[in-house]
This record gives sequence, C-alpha cells and structure tokens, in this order.
Amino acid sequence: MADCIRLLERCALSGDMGGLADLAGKEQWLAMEQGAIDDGVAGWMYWHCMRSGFVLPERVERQWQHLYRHYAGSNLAALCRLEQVLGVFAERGIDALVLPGAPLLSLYPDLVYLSMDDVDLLVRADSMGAFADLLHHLGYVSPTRHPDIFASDELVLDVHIDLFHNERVAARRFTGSLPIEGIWERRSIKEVGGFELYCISAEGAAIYSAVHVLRHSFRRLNWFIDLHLLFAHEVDAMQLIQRSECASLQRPLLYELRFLQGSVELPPALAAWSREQRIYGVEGWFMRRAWADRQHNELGDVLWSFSIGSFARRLYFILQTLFPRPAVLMQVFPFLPAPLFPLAYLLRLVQLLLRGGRQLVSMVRKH
Amino acid sequence: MADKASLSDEKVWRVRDHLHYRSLVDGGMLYDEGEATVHHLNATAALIWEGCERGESTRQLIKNMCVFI
Repeated sequence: MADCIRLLERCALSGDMGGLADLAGKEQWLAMEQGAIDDGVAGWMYWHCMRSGFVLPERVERQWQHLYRHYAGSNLAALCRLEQVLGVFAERGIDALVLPGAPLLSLYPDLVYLSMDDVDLLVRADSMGAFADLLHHLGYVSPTRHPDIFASDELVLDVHIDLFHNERVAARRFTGSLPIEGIWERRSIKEVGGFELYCISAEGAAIYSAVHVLRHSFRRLNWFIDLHLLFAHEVDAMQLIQRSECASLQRPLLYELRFLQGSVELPPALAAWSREQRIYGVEGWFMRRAWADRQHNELGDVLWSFSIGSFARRLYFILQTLFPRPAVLMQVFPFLPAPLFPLAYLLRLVQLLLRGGRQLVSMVRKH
Repeated sequence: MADKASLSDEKVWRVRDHLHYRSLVDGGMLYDEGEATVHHLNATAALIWEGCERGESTRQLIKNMCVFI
C-alpha cells in the first residue's frame, strides 16, 4: 500500500504515467484507484492517462472518469455562480478577492482540479456587514455558529477578513502573516476557466497554499500539485522567497519544497534556497512522520508551531489550536446548546484522546 | 440551441447565452445556467458543439464528422 502511494506521488507530480505499468495484480490496482481518490487526484490521473494513451483497467477507468467529469462539472457550475455573485458585489462597490483554491483552476487543463467544497473570499473588515447582508438577500444562508460561511445550492462561500482566519485562533499571529494591505495592493484580474476573477498575486497564492497544506497535515496530494504548478508556471522565485521570509512564513514553504524535491525538478532558485535551509532534529522528525502517513496524520499544527521562536508561545499556539475559544469550539459540536459550552472542552479532550489512540495503534501496526 | 427551421446544408446553429461549454479530454461538458444542470458530451457530440460555436454550417459540421470518423 505504501509503495502504491509513493508511486502515485511520483506519477501525479511528474505527470508521467509510465510507472503505472509496474502495478501487478488486482490488489495493487485497487490500492492505486482508492489512493488517487483519497488524495484528490483521480481526475488529474485520468486526464494524464487519456492524453498519454495509457490504458487503465476497466474498473479504474470508469471510477476515475466519473470523478473527472464530476469535478469538472461542479467546478464549472461553481465558477458560474461565483461570477454572478462577484458581479453583484462589484455593482455595489464592495471589493472581494478570490483566495486559492478557485484561482488555481487556471493551472489545470479542463477544470480538472478536485471539486471545490467551498470558495474562500477575502473582504475588507469594514465591508463584512454589507457583504453578509447582501449574501443573505441573495438567498445564501449561514449554518448554525458559522457566521462567515454562506451557502446556496451550488456554491458555498467562506469569507475571510484576513488570510488565515486569525480571528478564530488568535495565537496564529505568532506563526507569521502576510500584511493584508500588501495583498490588496498586489491583486490582479485572472482568467479562471473562462471567467475573470480578482485574485491575490501568484507569490501570495503560493504562500497561502503552503500554509494551507501544512495546516491540513499534507493530507492530499492535489495540494502539492497546485504548488508544483504554481512554482513552475507563475511564481517569481526570488520574490516568493523574499515575501515568505518577510512574513516569517518560510518554514511551511520549505517543508513543501523538500517534499516536492523527491519527485520533481524545482525552479533552480527555489531548489538552491531549499538546500541552504536547515531543518533541525525534532522538527525534521515531525516533518518526515507527517509525510510518511500523509492521509491520516494530524501533525500539521505541531509542525507549524516550529515557525514560532519562543517555546512558551509555541505551547500557547498548540494549546489554543487544540482548545480554541468557546465560539469556535462550539462550531465543532453544533448539537450542543450554547450554555453548555464548558462541556465542549470535555468532548474535545475525549475526541483528541481517541484520535491520538487511533494514530498510535496505526503507527504500532505499521512498524 | 437552435431555430426550429428546417435543416438545410447552409443552416448555421447558434449557441444560447445561458449555456457554458468547456472542452474535456474525452469530450465536453455543458452547463445550463438557467436549469443549473451539467451535461456531458461524448467526443462526437463535442465535435458538433464546437463546430456550432465556431458558426459552421450544417454542411461543414457533417464534413468534420466524416473526417473524425
């Protein structure tokens, strides 16, 4: 299974499907089929196989083709609705920037990027009220305890006033941040799947995506493909390094560059910068553990904490991430009545213990 | 997507505004904004659709298809 995942990583990142010919037998193909689905790259693999003429086993072809079409169709529908919504905001003079992933669709052929569960928008803090009123007027509803999420039948919008939702976990500010005014100044119009959207710069998108991948513990391979395509086609390497260092967000970027270096060739400036950086003992151990068990680990926030210099602040960040303030924690337990919020902390503790235990058992089994 | 006039060799088909088409590696897809539905087209249907988008006549569409087949 682990070999299949490594092979999937190599094929999906390099776009060379030749390695699939090494798969022998039904069991290995089943692992590859499911691995690609879990990693969000089934559509991408199908596209490459069709282009290169690689003949897939019938069952795998049927499954991947279904997802390829599903991703493309739902993304087209979402982009169409998004354009309409953004048009209404533009008419009212309300600025909104589309944060990655939606703009990353432009890096892919056929809108084949994994279906977007939601679209992240950045709005100015002082227009959030007008923004919410207008969305509710347009028929969007906010789920219980999620005032910054707006959902309709075809589109879910997650509205930010800063890049990493620092208002949810205040200690995230210790891990570094991209100045919000710089994000607005560097915005540009980008054509995404035939629609024009206001987006953040390519370097901003790369840093944002690098943090996103880390926060989600490197769980899905499609996020690495985003970064690989961004680095290869859109990013100015020197500007990316400079901006990530100024924002103190160079470590998430470094982890992902190191991961990619195992499978693809990086732009020379990024490869050289990555080689110059040092990753120390415990940090390196966490990074390798997170990579080795990408689809199941939850080490992202622990690894992110190594971006913080002070040990006390690092602990505070981890504590606050695991046990955020009541309004945020209650989002995890929507069934719990608001006055019972202390119970949410107990439930959270049980949840963490169960998850930790499960991961420990899985680690022991693997070794 | 077209007038109901009789088919003639020189007839040109027009795509309605609320239909969004994108080509795919094994065909194409149409999103009908009004109905909020997605339709997938196989390679032959996609070829015809793309010809319509280019404003080709029925004669030309048939010719393209003969070449394709």
